[in-house]
Amino acid sequence: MMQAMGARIFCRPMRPFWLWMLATTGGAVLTVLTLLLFYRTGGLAAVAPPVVLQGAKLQLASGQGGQTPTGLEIRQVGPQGSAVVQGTARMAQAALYRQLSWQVEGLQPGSELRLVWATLADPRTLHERVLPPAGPEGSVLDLSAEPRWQGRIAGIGLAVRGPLAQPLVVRRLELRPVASTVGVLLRELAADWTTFEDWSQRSINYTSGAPLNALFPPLVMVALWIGFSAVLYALFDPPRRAPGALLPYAALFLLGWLTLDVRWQWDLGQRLAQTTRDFAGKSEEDRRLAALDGELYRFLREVRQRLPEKPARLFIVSADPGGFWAGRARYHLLPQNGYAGFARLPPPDQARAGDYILILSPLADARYDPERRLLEGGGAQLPVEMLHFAALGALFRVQGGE
Amino acid sequence: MEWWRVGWALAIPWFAGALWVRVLWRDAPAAVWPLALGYGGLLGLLAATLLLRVQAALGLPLDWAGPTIALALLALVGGWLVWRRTLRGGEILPNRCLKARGQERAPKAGVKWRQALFVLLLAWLGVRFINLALEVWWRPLYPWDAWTTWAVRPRVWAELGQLAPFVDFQRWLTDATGSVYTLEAWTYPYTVPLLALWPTLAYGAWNETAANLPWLGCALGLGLGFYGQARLWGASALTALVFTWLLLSLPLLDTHVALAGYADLWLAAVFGLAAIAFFQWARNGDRRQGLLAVLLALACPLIKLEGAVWLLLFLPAWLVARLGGWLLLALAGIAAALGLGWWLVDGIIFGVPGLGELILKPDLIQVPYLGRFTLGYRGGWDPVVKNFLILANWHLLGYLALIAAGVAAVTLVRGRVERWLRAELLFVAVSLVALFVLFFLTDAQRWAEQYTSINRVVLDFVPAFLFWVLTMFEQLSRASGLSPSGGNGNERVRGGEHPAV
Repeated sequence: MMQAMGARIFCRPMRPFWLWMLATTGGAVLTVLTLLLFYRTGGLAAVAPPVVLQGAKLQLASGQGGQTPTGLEIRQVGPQGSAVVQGTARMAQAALYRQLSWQVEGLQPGSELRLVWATLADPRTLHERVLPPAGPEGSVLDLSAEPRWQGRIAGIGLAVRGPLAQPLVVRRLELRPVASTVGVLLRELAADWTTFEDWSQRSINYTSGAPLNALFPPLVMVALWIGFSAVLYALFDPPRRAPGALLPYAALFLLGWLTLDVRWQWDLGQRLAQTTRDFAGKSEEDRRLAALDGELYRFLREVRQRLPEKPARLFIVSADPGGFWAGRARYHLLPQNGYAGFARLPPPDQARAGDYILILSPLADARYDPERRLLEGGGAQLPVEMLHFAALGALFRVQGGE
Repeated sequence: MEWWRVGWALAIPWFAGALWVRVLWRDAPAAVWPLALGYGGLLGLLAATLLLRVQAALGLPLDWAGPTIALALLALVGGWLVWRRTLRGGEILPNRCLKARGQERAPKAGVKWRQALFVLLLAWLGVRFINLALEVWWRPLYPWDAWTTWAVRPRVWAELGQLAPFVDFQRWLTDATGSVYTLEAWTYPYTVPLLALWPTLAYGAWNETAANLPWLGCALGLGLGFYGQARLWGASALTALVFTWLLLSLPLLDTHVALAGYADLWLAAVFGLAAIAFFQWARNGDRRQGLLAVLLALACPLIKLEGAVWLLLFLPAWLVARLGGWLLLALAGIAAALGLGWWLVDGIIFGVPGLGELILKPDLIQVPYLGRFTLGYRGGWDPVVKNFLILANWHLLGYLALIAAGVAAVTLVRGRVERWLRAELLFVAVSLVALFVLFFLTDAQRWAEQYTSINRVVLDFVPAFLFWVLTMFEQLSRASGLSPSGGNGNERVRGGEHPAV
């Protein structure tokens, strides 16, 4: 009966359309099946390599120590009574990277070693879990049962409580992907297609459209889908040199493009919603205050009041002269005649009386002596008048030299 | 009131340019108005920046009124010319007249779904533009180079009311007057800062939203110009709109509108529309297209420094379009011999008066203002694969380009390639070689690895590449009978099955 029905359908003038639909659906199914098969038969290792943190890639967040040829050495715990080493986990997917291995030398029996981690969704919260005892050759732990091991892992590390009888050497920390079930892979697929990517300073350079280490990048999936569908259609209805022979293939391609564009529009809509929440209905001044550097802008508004109306030369000194905050400070203070490329105080032969110096905190290498009215640092001494001081920085005017 | 002034400041140059471009066509080919609005809009805004330069050169204070009056007068003259040459002269047969005379083709079967698709696609593009426009309207100046480089000069100029000079850091440091400013990229051309400045002058003070509005206009102009040229090439209204959608839906291009402030969108629009007009000229020798190509190509170096290099990419294609047979072979032979000689003598070094030393050696290129590039293969296809075939920057454009390249290769192998197609293919090939040299043989490879500029530089070429794909598609579809027109693409008036745009 099905055969008869199918024959009736395909005998109609709509036959090419139904074949096209069949090819499109078949292409979609084949795409998903191919990718699942690929990942279930070892492809995961190629696309999602282990996250290996050798000692050199780890940093001491608390405690004292340093790098050694064998790894990161912890000599003393920090003021809170513990030492923490940490590194970036490349936003590894917790559902995939469920196997942890570690190698630490010098741990005394009875000492407790903890795994610490933070997720992308909540990077400020540090999760902890006690690791089972292990010798210097290390051990492996399956994190599948850990309920807080979820989402994307922003950073991982190890914590140990002191005091330490002898230095510890953290040789390596490794997250390995575990062959996943079809269910886990399908959830990854859904996550890769629905992850929202907000505007960032990277946006102007590239749009990833999915997490950078996605297993199912939408573009690749759509390309596979269109490819499979085109092959299927060519099998169902072999190409002939007839009018309109290209049309089904062109339509397939445009369908794929449209799919990606609908997703991009969804992304743009989400971004616009965020922009609306942050800035819509506000004055230009309020929008600046609501921006990422709103606090800095508030501080610079105070600074601006102390600067002359006629633009003056302004040396902006900061720990990161090529960075975001220095650049934004320069921009916000325009048309003051500023330059933000100073990592230390300008020498006296460069800064003249009447010039202004804005120091952005924190800057270790600069001191102000209020009694002598001198700004010192980096071997330079400048006679100055302090015009404004706040947590984010201070403004000085260079006085006439001796 | 200030926003009305901004509106006038943007609209008047736009219409002045559009009317003058429209004057070039005595007849009324399909979509001549979108073409005029696209090309003319961009040319009008560029003209406004030139008038600002003239104003400053004459020592006059910066003001939008003078240039606007000049542009309004130009618009009036242009409007009168359009009326005289087209509507009054009765030399054209607009679609309306054709309908009245019953000469229009009767609608074919299946026309309605084409019209419906056309309207739906237009609506989809409208939604996209509204989305991007709201981002431009609400979001303060956002991207890095915008507030470190491109917006610094217009903001200073807007607040001072004069085109204060920008110099290198050492000169700034030793300057005793305090009237010169400094910028890392102090050699960058003035045009894009002036484009941002123009509406803020009308606004009356520095305003980031006003400064960013021209970017929206740039994308609109690019879309209109692309669509108009596609129709002029012979594509049906639906095909032309589909390709325009392919262009305007590209995530990286959209991002450069939403996060306005970079110069890349302007170079993409100006260089892209110049290349498209060049393709048209190469095809039928239409002098009007040649004029548009020359005007826009000459504007490229005024937008970004690399625009000067992109300008040179026209040269080989121009020679192939104009010359043929033995002359072309002889020229290619001379070029090859010169290249070999250059290689054998290990390059050349010479001074350019007023600019500095020019070094062209096999292992080093130094061009004043452009920079110094150490040459040597620094392989690495990973960023290319990642950015064009995996990440979302370009939707399926990377795959489409591969298919088009395959079709082009087959066309070349089969022989009997028309001269315009040869010129077009050479333009695309030389552009790809330039990109290869930049990202594989120079230190710019680092920018590719870090994803900082690989996409932005390619954006300059995307409109031209996509138009090339359109021409390949048209060629192919005519051969297979896909094109509903089935014509040769040279029809002057089309209509009936789709809106007369």
